Amino acid sequence: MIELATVTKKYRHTMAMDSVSLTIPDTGVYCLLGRNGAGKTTFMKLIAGHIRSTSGTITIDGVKVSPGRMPDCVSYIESDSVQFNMRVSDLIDTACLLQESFDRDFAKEMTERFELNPRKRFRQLSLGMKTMLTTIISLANNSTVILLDEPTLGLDPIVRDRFNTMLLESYDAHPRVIIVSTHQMDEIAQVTQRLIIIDQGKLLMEAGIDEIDEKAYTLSGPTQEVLPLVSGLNCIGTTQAGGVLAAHIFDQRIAVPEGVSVDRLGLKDFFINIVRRENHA
Amino acid sequence: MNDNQPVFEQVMEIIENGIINKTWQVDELIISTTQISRLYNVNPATAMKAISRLTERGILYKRPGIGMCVAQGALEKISAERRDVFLHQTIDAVLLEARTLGISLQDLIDELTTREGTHSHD
Amino acid sequence: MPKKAWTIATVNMKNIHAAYIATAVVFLALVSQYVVNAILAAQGMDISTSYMVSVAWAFWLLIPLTAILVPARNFNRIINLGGKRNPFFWGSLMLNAVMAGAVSLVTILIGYVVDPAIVKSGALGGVFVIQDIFGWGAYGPVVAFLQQFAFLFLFGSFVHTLSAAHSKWYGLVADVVIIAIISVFTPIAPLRGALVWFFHTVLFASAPWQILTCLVLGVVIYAINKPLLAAKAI
Repeated sequence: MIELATVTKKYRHTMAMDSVSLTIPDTGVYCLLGRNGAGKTTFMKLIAGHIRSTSGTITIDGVKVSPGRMPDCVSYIESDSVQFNMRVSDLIDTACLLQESFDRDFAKEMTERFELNPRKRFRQLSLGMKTMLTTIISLANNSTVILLDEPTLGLDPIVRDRFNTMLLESYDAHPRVIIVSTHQMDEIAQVTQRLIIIDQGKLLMEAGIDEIDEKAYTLSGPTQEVLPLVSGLNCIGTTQAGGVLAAHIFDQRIAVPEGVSVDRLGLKDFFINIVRRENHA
Repeated sequence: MNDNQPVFEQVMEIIENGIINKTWQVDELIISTTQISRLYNVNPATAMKAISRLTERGILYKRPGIGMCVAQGALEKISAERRDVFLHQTIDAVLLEARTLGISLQDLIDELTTREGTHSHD
Repeated sequence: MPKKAWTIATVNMKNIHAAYIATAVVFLALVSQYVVNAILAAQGMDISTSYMVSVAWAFWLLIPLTAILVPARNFNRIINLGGKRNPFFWGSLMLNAVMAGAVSLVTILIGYVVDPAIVKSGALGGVFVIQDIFGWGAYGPVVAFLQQFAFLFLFGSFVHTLSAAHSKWYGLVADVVIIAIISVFTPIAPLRGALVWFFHTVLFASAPWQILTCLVLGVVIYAINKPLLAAKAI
């Protein structure tokens, strides 16, 4: 469906995207993880055809993407994007006119659910509400690829929870590729199916959330007992304190002797270890 | 959800428990993945994985257009598996812990007998 | 595609408040000339030597202001609502044509109906009417409308293209080149001749020749937007 072949995007002095190759073959909710400035927005802008890659090609359903040929099947709205200072309801109506397959009823229902006052003008909305509105407009598009850039930025926990529900409902109603970038990892872990981790413009990992659930864990115990267990396993990081070693593993689960404990490694800690390992390498 | 087991294994246990305590009988529809993910706050993909593992093991089967149902003999299969785990791993762990704490085998047997007695009076 | 392009044209039309406000202000300023003269006349002063600028000129402002605002301000906002570049290209061309047509229609109506009425009724020396200044009135109002439409279309295309180029370095280069051409050409007689010939052609030449040049040149200049738009980052 989406294919990136050695895509590079260079700005004057920075490599925003460094020969990334990635295939997204199937529909699903994908989570794009990366630190600030890791290249998440560049990744999305390239797929949406908002910017031109320095080298490499991006194809969606076999059609090459470029700013001159912005794919109709991709819906992307930058998170802090400028909008016409219209009323919320007018913005939705305008988006409905501009887009090919816009689900106006869904958009209206969501504005109600998220308590967005349809009579308020865009500039009167808070940061979180602005983000919510652009997210609703993106999701209401039934196109085959939806890119959401930090949709939970500035949202309180209750609204973030509602957002997760909306995401799942929207996906269930129209299964397609939805790529979400966020820093709220433990929350997105409950809805996403696959993860794309990038750092400093490089692709670090593409994996299913179930793989991480199963294979990411921490072995902790006395150093001399843990160390022999770790050899032969894919260890993504260690923490040592006193004589105790905690080794973070991304590999098959193993049987451990008494005295060594196994803990599931949460998505956030998994991410931290993966990125830290890359930075030390 | 606890923190040491993979979430999908815990979801598998939840479903197995439901079959053991007869919440879902043979050929009955079990809880859907969406319901599981809502109820236990787990990822639908994880819930799906738990169900597909149970299907592979012949505990669940898919009724097209309806959903996942409890397979014939599921209860027996789960009981046998659990029995196996109990007799080996659980008892091993108990014995090991007893040895660490210096509890003799006879004390352990006495304790178990008294317990069983009080339980059967309940 | 034409439907989406037209949608983008109408969305743009609804979102150029600054252009409408500026036009209204200039329009009111021009109207105030009549008021001042009327007051002077009422006080018995002789105003037969005073000339006024037709209020129609105010509407000309709409052309460059629209052409600046649409690529510089509205483009991002339209893309951010899910619009696409290709319909934007055609929609903006449509809007430019519609604006040129509407402005030309209004100003010709004013030039043929309101302005003569004012001249006739008052003691005024006269009014600077658009079609008279450029000699567009020679073949009657319809040709005058077409001539003005063609010129405004060219004007709008030119400003739109320049405005669209301004997100990149070559926009500024284009500015410098245009200023350089005018300032270098003006003092040198043969080159000045070329400039004069150009402005004569797009403004004063015989009707069919002027209309044709303006429309063709307008479309050619507008076509530059295609690569500009393709390179434009959001």
